[in-house]
Amino acid sequence: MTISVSSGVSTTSRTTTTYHLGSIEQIPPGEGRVYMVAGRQIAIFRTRDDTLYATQAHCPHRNGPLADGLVGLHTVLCPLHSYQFDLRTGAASMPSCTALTLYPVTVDSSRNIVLQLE
Amino acid sequence: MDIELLVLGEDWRVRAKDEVLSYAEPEKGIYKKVLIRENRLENAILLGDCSGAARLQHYFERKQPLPENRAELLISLFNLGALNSGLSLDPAQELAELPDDAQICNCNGVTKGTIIAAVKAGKRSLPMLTAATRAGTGCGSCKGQVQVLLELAAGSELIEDPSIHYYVPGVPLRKPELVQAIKEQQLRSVSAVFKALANGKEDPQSKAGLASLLKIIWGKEYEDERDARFINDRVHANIQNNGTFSVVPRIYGGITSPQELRRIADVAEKYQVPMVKLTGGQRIDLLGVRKEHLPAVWRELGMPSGHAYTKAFRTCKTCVGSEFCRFGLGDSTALGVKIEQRFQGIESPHKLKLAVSGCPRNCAESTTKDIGVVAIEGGQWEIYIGGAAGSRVRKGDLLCTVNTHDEALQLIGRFMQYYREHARYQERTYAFVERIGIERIRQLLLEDVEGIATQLDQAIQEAVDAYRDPWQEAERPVTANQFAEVLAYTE
Repeated sequence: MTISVSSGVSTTSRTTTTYHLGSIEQIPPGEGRVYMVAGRQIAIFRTRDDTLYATQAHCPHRNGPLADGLVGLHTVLCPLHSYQFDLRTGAASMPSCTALTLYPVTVDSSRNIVLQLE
Repeated sequence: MDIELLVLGEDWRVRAKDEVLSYAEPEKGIYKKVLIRENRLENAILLGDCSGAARLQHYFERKQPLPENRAELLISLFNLGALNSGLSLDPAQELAELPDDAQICNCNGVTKGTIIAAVKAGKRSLPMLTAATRAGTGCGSCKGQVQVLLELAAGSELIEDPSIHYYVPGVPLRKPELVQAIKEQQLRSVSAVFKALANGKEDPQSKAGLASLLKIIWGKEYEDERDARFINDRVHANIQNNGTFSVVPRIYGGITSPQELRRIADVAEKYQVPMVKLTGGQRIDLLGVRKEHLPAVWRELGMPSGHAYTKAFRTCKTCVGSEFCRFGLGDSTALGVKIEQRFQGIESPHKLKLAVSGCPRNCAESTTKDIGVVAIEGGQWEIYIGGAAGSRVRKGDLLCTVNTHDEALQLIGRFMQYYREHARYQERTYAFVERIGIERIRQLLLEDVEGIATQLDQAIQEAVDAYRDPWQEAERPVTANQFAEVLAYTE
């Protein structure tokens, strides 16, 4: 099952493409959802204060689905083994675990999700 | 009571030149025996007292040469620290003697050397150390050893982290003070607790524990914020290692029917369920179900949730009892079904696994359940609490003996509510019953020395009345894209 969220307008500046992913209300406050954008799975998190973060969809440790994790002020816990990541930097709390890849994401004035991918 | 047991090796046949050392104290239930072959430890058994287990395990796994003086080996299997024997044998010294490559955490494969190195690198409190090494973060049974190693390596530079006493790490209060603050300030949601008691700092590790507590305190008045739930409780299924889910429908007392089995088989085929497995709790587990298929699977099963994914009443295992068994003394299936119908879905600080056996042969293993019931001659039922057969094995304590199903249901509910109100988050009944003490629990629940029995009975009745099958959310999703796997972006 796939859910169509938006027919967004894409604009290109150099190598970065902007994607309009539709309303922030697609993601409940304090949770994450996975979006398929240009062939890539991206996890987007909405904190309770409506800040958005976008990361790779799967945990570097054992491939856990990060969007299913518990979200704090600016951290996410992988649901499989509770590895914790800082959503601002991508850094893992476990030194042995690689950091998450992050993607720039914002909310526009109509409360739509705006994601940038290279 | 705890039964300590360590068995190393399988083949006890003694060959020529083998050495066997043994020691027995039948009165105390202590028995120790080791088999030595070519100066290496071949087999060992420790029963009733596992002092020296770490050392034996090390000799066994590494096949290292044993102390030449066999008496020293035998004595090392006893904790003689208090006798000032001159031998260094207390647990701390035993750990100190282990080489760096000895594995301490068997869940995550963390060695003593890794733990010591992390302490030397500055992880000088238990939470910091376990977070950095993951030692003790699996089943948790080695946490005591990790603490001892921390103390050994940090010495006077040990950092006492008060958060280990908090109900959840992100709110600096123990459970009684936290409950009081929640009630006084009328905090009905997890986000309200963070705002009022943690300077607004939302801690993901604390969310599920707070949600559990608030639901028990406020019942129907609890403001349920779905983001405070672990994924299992958002989608009412148990997440698996590949991101799929397991589905366990409720089969009351483990009794099913041909029609139900046919429906389960049809669903398993239609949704190409990769594994259909019988569980230890006498149910059927459909493993590998995709998240987006969950609502349809539930709808087509037409059975309620078995709650095999959450900290709640799980299941009540039964033996056939007097219905068919020629030894059956009591109707264990009827009582098991009544227990399961009454307590299904009741949330608690940790999971609750129950059982009812129809005679003292105890085929449903009632004495190693959180709450277990055993029929005895004379139409009576024994109720055991605090049993376990997981990472720890513990025989339950006998709470009381009652005459009827109704009395059994009342006392089970009363204990359950007391546990819900007073246990720490994720404290199983075996630890809780040990901490409070069976004598004290009997005083509180049977003699009613503090006059709380009626209140406990009322509170559990309210929780029973509030039960709703969460799988009804198949028809009424609660959050946006609750069961979606991937949202597609379209041009």
